Amino acid sequence: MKGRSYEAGKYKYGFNTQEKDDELYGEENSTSAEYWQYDARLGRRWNVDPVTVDWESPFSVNGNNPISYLDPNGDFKSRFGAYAYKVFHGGEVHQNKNQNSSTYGQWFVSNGNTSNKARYKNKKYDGGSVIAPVRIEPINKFDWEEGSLVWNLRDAGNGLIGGAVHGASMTWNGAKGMVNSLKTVKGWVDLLETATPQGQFKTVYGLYDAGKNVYSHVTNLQGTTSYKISYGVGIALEKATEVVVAKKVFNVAGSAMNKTSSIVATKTSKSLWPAASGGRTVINGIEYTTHALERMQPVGTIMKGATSYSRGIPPSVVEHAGKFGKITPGNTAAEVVRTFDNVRVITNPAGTKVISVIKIGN
Amino acid sequence: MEFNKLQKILWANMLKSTDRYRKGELCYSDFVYGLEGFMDTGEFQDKELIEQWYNFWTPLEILSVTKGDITTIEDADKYLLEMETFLKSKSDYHFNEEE
Repeated sequence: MKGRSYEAGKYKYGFNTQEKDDELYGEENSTSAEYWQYDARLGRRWNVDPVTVDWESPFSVNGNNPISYLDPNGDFKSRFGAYAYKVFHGGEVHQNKNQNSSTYGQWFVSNGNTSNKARYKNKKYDGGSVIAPVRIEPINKFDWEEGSLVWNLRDAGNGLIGGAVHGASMTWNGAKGMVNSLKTVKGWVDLLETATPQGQFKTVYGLYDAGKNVYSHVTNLQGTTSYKISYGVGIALEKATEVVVAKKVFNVAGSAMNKTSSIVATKTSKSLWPAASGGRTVINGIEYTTHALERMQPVGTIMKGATSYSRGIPPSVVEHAGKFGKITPGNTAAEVVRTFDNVRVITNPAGTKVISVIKIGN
Repeated sequence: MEFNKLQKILWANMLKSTDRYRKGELCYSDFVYGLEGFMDTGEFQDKELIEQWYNFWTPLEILSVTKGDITTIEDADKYLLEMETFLKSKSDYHFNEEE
């Protein structure tokens, strides 16, 4: 057309529909999107993918298959993408379980005669107001299957708008309670120094609200069993009250995650433990003696000589041991011992009164 | 798993503190939580050993919670003997392993 011209070098967008950052490494070597910076020379993203799967590097891009898969914003993939697609577009979610297939393990949404609409790293729902996934694992969700991850969606106004997806069983589960409890969540933080006695937790994420209160929802990305995840929650938040360090945060304004490198949240003000100084206390219908409360306080807050008398066991973990722990006799008929994992709770036979709490190994 | 030098000292201290409690040199709560303190300080890594230890410590803790410092040696005797037997059996094994 007269008066118009085209210069390929000045076109803004490159690989994967992302905007070029030619000033970094020269032409065509770097592109950016909402959640990543991509280095075309390496075929890798700079930052860790906020949505990872067990079988590939968190720095990989498009499942190492850029011809078949797109990830315009660099944040979603696999089953989450498929389920998210289903939320907004309907259809049935399937996973390819044929190990001989080149697309083994990948997720699809079939919808009538149209199959494979939401393949791997799907982001077709971004026409709505979803801007980021929030991974959550509720502290008391012991009835969930092992190794499950729970996902939710956060919109630009920071309201949670999607149902939770129970990843392992591929069913919708527990969405209502979680959504209700997470209305004020503003983002997530990476809590460091959160190793449990078993050492199985390397990375734990907590959610924080505008007041920087860390909620009792964290997830462990290492894929351990659900009860250990729940136990880890207690440990993580116990530590969080002492040393929460926020390393990376999804920028809710929508700029690239790799550009959000500053520490945003540093400390929680929310404690999981009722003060032992209040004496006997009833929590969720269970009476705790002062001694039990002292033993439950965060490690290091109550000392006997040079060692910590308090063991850092939140009430939720005690309740869990009370409900599901193996019961053995106490010294007399007046008490029983309930042991779950490395937490031992001494209660009355009815389980309505907690006399003491023991952590096996500290 | 053999004990390191510190662990051997702490394990021996557990036995010593049992003696001291029997002699009336320690009050019951100091004795019970002193034992746990030794266990913490030793940073023992053998999970089975730790669990066994807590199996013998738990009855002592229950006594501490239910009777406190008025616990008599007679009240605790059965559990003290069991703990002592356990500590000695493990010290024999773990102390000799290195030699």
